[in-house]
Amino acid sequence: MENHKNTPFNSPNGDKENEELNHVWNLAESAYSETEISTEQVEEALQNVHSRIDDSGPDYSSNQTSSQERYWLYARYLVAAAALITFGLYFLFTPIHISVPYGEMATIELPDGSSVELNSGSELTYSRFFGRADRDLTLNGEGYFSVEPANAPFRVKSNGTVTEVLGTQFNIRSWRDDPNSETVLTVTDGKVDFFAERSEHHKVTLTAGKLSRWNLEMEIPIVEEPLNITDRIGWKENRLIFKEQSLIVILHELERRFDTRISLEVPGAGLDTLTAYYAEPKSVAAVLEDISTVKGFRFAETANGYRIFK
Amino acid sequence: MKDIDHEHIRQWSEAIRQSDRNAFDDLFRHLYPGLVHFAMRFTKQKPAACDIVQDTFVILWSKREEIDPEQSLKAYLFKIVKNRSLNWLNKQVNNSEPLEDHMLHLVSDSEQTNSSAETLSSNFKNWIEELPVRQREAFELSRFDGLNHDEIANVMNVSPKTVNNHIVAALSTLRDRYNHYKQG
Repeated sequence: MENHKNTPFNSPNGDKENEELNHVWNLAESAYSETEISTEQVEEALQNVHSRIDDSGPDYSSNQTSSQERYWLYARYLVAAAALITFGLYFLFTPIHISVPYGEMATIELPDGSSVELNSGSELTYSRFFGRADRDLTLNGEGYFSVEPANAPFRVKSNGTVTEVLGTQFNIRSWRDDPNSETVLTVTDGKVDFFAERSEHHKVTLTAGKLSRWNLEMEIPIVEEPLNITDRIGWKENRLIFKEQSLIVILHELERRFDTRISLEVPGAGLDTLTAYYAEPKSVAAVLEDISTVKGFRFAETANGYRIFK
Repeated sequence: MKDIDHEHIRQWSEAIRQSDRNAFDDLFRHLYPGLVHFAMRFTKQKPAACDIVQDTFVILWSKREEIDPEQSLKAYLFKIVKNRSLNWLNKQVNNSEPLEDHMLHLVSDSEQTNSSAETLSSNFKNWIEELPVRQREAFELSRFDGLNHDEIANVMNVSPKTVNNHIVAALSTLRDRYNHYKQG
């Protein structure tokens, strides 16, 4: 039961009476005896309704059945429901796993009304009970989260870090194959708690415009205030933005974005850094051309992608 | 919270109108427990209440094209559940057999609450039960089911102003009984 700040009534006898009645209104909450209806019971009931809808076809309402027929219908529903429950229970405990193909992006609507935009190649996992007991999910990759306010904290686990919020917007970049095992959190709205999974007492709290990064060598994430926060979420608009990024990171990003394979055949060049900005990258070849020009490399197309050599 | 709740239901009802099964499922999960609880106020037993609410959702789906997104879908569902619950009660009377059961339920229920009668909570329960029917209905829909005045007006077929009057009257009675109880 929520507490109403503005109690939904208005006495004609003015404020004092309203105050008294408000007190009684609050006390009356104690009379609410909620009959326990578990999530399983709700799902069971929903399956029941599903099978009835599917059985009766589009004009259920005009179907006048005799009580005898109804009896047999119910018997059928019972058998169907039993089968569905057995299947359903198994189904309920397998988590939902979303994996965005290379070359594509995806927007996921979560059961609590929050949404996540996922960059190419990202993976997101959450339980089928998401939004009821908790709002926990796991991310490998990059996602921009818009979280609906609710009582339960919204928690994202990503490669050793935890990001915890109530309702806000933020971007997490956390690739398992990142050479520095780095997770970068950028907050565009509201307030976010961020910490390493292994030392949850060392939280940092970020507000809009702040950025935090963490890698395996750190105890506490570090906090920065980047100049241009929108660059961090430019991927959503299909932009490519690299600020002193290592070639390894850049090439991984290109592989995911353009669904291709790039092999770097220049020894020791992987950790060279590069800064580049593309508002609308035309093709992976155009980007590779630029990189090669700057670094003095050459590149060529292969059977399944590209190779870069000297 | 309230507004988000209403906004969600509005979006779902729009989607259900266009035959979106996921929106239907979301709405079901969101409202099913509350509606069963509401139906139980009439039926006093859970299995019948569950049946009635499930029937209601089957009907909603079959009439989804008639949903008016400007009207509160929540009020619409409460109204159907109420009508079907009353029909169910009538049928119990006509079939004559389960009515006694039903009365027994009622009696044993209140006995139960009397045995732990000292608590404020069970006092409030009894006081609410003893309110005039319409006052009680308006009060419970507002306090326990979270409907706003327009929605309650829709369910009860009265004006929102009457709803307010019912609720204020109910609260005044509860206040008097509470004050009386406090003074021993």
